[in-house]
Amino acid sequence: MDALGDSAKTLWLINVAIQAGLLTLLVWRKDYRRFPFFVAYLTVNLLQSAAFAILFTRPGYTSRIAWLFGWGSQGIVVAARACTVAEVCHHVLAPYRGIWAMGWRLLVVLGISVLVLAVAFGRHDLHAGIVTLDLGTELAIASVTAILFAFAKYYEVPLREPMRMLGIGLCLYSACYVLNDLLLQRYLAGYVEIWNLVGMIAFLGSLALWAWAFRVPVEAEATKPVLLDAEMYRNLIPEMNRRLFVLNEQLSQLWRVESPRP
Amino acid sequence: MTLFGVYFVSIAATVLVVAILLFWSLRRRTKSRKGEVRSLEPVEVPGGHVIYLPQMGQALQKMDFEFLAARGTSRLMRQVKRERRQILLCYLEAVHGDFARLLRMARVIAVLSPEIAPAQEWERLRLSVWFALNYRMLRLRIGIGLASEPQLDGLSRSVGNLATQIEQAMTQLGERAAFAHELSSSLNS
Repeated sequence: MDALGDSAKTLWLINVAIQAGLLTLLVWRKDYRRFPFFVAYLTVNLLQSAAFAILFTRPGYTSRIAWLFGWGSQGIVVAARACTVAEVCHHVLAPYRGIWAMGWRLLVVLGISVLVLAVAFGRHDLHAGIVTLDLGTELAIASVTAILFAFAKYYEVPLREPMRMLGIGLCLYSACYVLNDLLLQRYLAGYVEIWNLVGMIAFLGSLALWAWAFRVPVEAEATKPVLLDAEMYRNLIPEMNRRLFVLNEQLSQLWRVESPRP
Repeated sequence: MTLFGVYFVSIAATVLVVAILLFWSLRRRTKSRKGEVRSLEPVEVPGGHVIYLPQMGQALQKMDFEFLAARGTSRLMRQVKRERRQILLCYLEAVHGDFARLLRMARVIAVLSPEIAPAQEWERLRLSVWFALNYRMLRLRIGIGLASEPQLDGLSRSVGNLATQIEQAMTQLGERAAFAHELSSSLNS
């Protein structure tokens, strides 16, 4: 632990304390029933921190075992965070059956595409390759969350608490993590300490958002919206779109006709 | 630039896009946009501004300006042009509001529908983006005095037709009152 600077140690302790407090609160309120993946994510994160505390004290911060455990467990933590994002998506969109059916497919395709692209074009040597994989996953998480929010805004789907804060925290943390990983790939060893510190500050920010979101008991599930008859969509929407198409065609045509001649 | 440099810039740009998207999505509307309604009133099918089309056509008539140029002063003609342009812009704004309400109605139908067709949704998104672009271009052209009567005619007729079509469909379904109630309560819940 001594290899970590004082500021990093303090931040680490604050993060662990807030996480433990939040986890206790969620378990005490039985919120794990509604947010099983988020609770699992916090638990995995805490376990990782505890293991780090032991590894950094005995074999040391720079030991190979600490490095292997660090990146190995990071895979589990990131996977748990990805599941939390899926949980938020489900809470926000699932009450609306039609757009959920379309939305989850769109988000999965987007997430996988971002991950594959980020990994395919990144560095692939042993050390940088792991960072690339981590970066790709975090970028996918940030993109999916941002698109979920955009989707909700477009369809005017209400974003209730704590889903809103949970989503913001996940997105901002992942976005910071991506930038941090990117700089780590660029500067490697020289950036490790700053990388650690920045990562902890970003996580602290997200934790603060999540703690704020869960400061009050989570409201019971809102009553499910009364859905319309599927016939209405089938009857109205194609006709509305056809009219909109005609309108746009007219406008485009007029624009071409009226364009200033060279 | 090296290959990693390109990668670095691409990833950083993606993060920037994500951040912009997030802030845009979370931005609250401090004031409702002109012509847009905060609470949906499906009974009030948009398209009412179309009835002012003849007056708008009149506002664009060249004859008026030629008459003023011949009989009045050029200063008077410029003033009239300016005022009419303002009226046209207001009119275009109102038509845009009608369009926005129709789009919103379509979105609400989609949200509350148990089944939706992704192709239709994509199509509407694409069309609404194009409409927004065309509308801004037309607005700009009116602002600098390049628009003429047929342009507004085309725009207004389409909005009017669409409104009529929806109204007819809703009447045929015979559920307008129940529908209005369901939509409002679902949106407000």
